[in-house]
Amino acid sequence: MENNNPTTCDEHVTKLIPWFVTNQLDNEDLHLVSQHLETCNDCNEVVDEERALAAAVRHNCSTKTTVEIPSKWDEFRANILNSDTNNIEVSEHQESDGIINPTPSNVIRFPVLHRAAQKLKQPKTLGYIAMAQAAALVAVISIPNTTSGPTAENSAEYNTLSSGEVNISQQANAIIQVKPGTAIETLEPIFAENNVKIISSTSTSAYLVNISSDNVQDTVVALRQNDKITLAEPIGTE
Amino acid sequence: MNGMRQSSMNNSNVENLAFAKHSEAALIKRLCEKDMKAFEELYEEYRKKLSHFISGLVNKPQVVEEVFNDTMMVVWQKINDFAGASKLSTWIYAIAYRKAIRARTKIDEPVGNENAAMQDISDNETEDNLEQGQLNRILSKALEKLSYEHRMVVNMTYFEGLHYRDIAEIMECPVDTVKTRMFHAKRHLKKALGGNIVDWL
Repeated sequence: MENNNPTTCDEHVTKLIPWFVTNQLDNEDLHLVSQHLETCNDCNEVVDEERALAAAVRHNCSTKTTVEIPSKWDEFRANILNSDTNNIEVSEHQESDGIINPTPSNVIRFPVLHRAAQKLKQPKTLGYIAMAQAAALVAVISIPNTTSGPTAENSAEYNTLSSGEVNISQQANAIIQVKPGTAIETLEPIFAENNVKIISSTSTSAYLVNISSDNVQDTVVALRQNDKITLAEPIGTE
Repeated sequence: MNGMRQSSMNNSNVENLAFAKHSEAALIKRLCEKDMKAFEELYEEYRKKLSHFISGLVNKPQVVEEVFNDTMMVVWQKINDFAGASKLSTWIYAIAYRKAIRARTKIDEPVGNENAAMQDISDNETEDNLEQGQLNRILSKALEKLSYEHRMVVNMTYFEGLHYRDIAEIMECPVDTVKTRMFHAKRHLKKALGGNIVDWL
């Protein structure tokens, strides 16, 4: 039987029409609407009108002058680095959005690293940020037995690859972070190719390295292109 | 008929949907591994997507940028907590929505109300045979007069192409509220545009 009076149509069905015209309905809803449209001429007209309204809104939105967010990826990446260094602070003080777990399982808790970074952190430039993080890393490696730092029992998780005699702060000129679980055997040829020498590392897949190159910045940029490397930043320079 | 056309389109999209799900799972895996390149791609993709979305809630360019940066920082820090119960895009939009609402409250931007959706467009703007440019201006005015909740439902449905369930999740409200907001918003927009709406087809 034909239904030509949309006011008598099932409200549950008519309220689905906006998502019918944008192809968003799942099968159950789609079946309901399709079945109704087979017998209701007026609702077919509503659908056509709805399509026109959707097109008008799309056109309006696409022509409207909206704020274009500038791309500041390098700056944002530096902030990410900073937030990773201060993860303990994030986990304790982050405001709740109601949709995220306030105590994530992946937070890395290194109090010494955190405090060292806090003391050194004056992130006016990317260089300062990287320096703070590198210095914090040095602090962790060179003072492994502080009260709140790694203890003798857990010091094995810090893999200092260089000899204890090395003056790290003088030799390291870049910091590199790789994907978790990336084997050193995978990294060695990449580092060799780019004249990168590991000065020290931690179990967090971060390496203090020395790049023997006239242009450290160019090497760092080349390293970033490798999909095993998630971060490469020069340190000690502006 | 409209129903048959839609049904056939829906079936042909099943494979694309499966592919999209697979791609999203791969992307999430890379993000959980803290793959900086994957995150850079995500950052650039959502820089464009969220520009319009956030601008619908806050006007000041600086605030739009701050909301975007705050959103992406939460994504970076909490990606391992993303359980996959919703689409990644829904999760990101939901974070941006909350950040924008919070920013909006802080800077005292006018918050719409349910009555705003019922305000009328003056009669001389609903004459027939209006040029598309004029119609677009009338539509802009009509959208601005909607409460932000109504306007965001309209934008998310027609412009972002989101399902009502995703919109409900983003706005943290029942799906029936989304449908009702859409119903009232449409009534207002259709009234503002008069009989000229079919000109868009």
